[in-house]
Amino acid sequence: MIVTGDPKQAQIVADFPILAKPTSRGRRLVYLDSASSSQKPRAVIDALVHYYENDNANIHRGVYELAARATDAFEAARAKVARFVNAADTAEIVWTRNTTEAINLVSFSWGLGNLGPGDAILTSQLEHHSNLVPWQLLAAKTGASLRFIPADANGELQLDNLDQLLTGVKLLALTHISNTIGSIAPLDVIVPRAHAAGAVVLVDAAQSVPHMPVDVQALDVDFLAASGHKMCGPTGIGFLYGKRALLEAMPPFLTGGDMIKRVSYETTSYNDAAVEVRSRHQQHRRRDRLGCCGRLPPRSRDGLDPRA
Amino acid sequence: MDDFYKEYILDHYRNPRNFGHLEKVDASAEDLNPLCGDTIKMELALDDDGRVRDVKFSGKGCAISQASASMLTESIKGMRLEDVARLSQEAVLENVGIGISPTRMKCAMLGLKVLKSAALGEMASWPDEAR
Amino acid sequence: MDWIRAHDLRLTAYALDALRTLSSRGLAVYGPARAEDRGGVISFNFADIHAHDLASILDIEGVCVRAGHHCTMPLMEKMGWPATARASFYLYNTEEDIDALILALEKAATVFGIA
Ligand SMILES: Cc1ncc(COP(=O)(O)O)c(C=O)c1O
Repeated sequence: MIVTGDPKQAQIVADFPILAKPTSRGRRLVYLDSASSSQKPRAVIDALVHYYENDNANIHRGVYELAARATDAFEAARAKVARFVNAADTAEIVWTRNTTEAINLVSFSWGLGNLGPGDAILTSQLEHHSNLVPWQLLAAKTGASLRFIPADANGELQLDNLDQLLTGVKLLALTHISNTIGSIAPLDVIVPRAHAAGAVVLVDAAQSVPHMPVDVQALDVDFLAASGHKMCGPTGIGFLYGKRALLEAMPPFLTGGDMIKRVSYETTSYNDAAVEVRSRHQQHRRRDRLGCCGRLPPRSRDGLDPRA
Repeated sequence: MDDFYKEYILDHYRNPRNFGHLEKVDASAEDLNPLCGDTIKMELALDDDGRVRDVKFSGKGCAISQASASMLTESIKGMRLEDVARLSQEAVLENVGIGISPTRMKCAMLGLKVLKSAALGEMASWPDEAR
Repeated sequence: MDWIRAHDLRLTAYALDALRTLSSRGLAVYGPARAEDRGGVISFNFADIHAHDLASILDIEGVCVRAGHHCTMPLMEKMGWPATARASFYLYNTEEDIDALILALEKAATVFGIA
């Protein structure tokens, strides 16, 4: 067992049941891989069980009370995520499976409609494959070019030629904290210059949202992606923050389900509030599949904040 | 743990046998383990009856992948190419002689995988009656 | 969240100092030198021990670290690192965890005969 002098720290450790389980060789588990995936506190594990024991139903479908409860929990979680990153509007939070899906959503739904030959995508030399491969594919599909902000030997971004790099850039896609080398991108410097150059800014916040206060309005980013499983939440849930005006202009990414207004055998029209519903279908499907539920993010937030 | 990284494994890692390149290559293949970035290339020289006359490997990676490849090169000299292509995972594990955890199995098998693909690639170019 | 950031920073600074005690034996830490300039993530290599071997030995000691390219292959290639081991911290980690990491690294040095 851990022998920490700090009672508050000891309480936090005790909240994570897995940390009390010895390894197969009888050692204390020393988990130093949270950048890959975090452990889950008791509150999150209990919330999953509670949901399936008490509130489980298909969200946004049933008229019965149980379905209403499930829907409320699902939407309440969205509101909590919005508050957590200080989004101006709950509708600016789109549920996704994880960071990777959030970035792909932007690539397909925003990128295909907004990029063409002569445009450029700017990213950095530090990126996780999740914030690189989607842009390689988007560039290949649209004829846009792909550029990189160089990093020095310590993994710090070299901004000397930033304005030059930004000319003709429609999208800047940047990791907030490098998962490999730990360096932090100076978004306060980069984002205003990217906007001045006319670029939309997407931040891969997979490593920052779990670890520091992130305020999307203060950072003034256009899109921001993160994963629940790296912040004490269950696997299979993540989110995309997007400024409302951008989201509203984007076509659905994965289609089917309750984003639909009317479907005939030949054609489909989508709901007006497509920004709000575009991801719901995917969401409840994956919830069924992966055992996530709308109730979890708020609990995981509580788990995240030792003061809460 | 104490028999996990045995001394001979580390010896093969630090002093790999048959490491380098052949002048004249009759069969070769290269692959990487995308999980860890380990790479291995195998080069074979054959004699007239299709036996392995010489073998060299090159690449970089962990002790398990490099030692396993190194030990493999020692064991196949003189072997018929058909038999090289039929080498089993079990034979390699026996050769390596330490318990390999499931997460490291790909490392231990990289050399074998490359060797087999070199052998099969070469055999594919043989006339039918020679196979 | 301010608490978590402060906690990560404290552990990162502690770990950077602890890892530096092994630098004379060939342990190389990558990334910004100061904890303030990083998230709670430290990539490193130890002498000629491949990161995967290091992670396997650490695992035997109960210490879970990631090893490999961390889904950033182009960066690894640019930096000239075939692989790195990576320790990362969160709210439930403590100084004891880092002490355990250092002990396990010393064990790895013994196994690999690093003086
Ligand atoms: C910086 C960064 N971006 C993206 C991802 C991908 O996260 P996920 O697999 O949850 O989509 C990760 C995960 O390691 C990451 O560290």
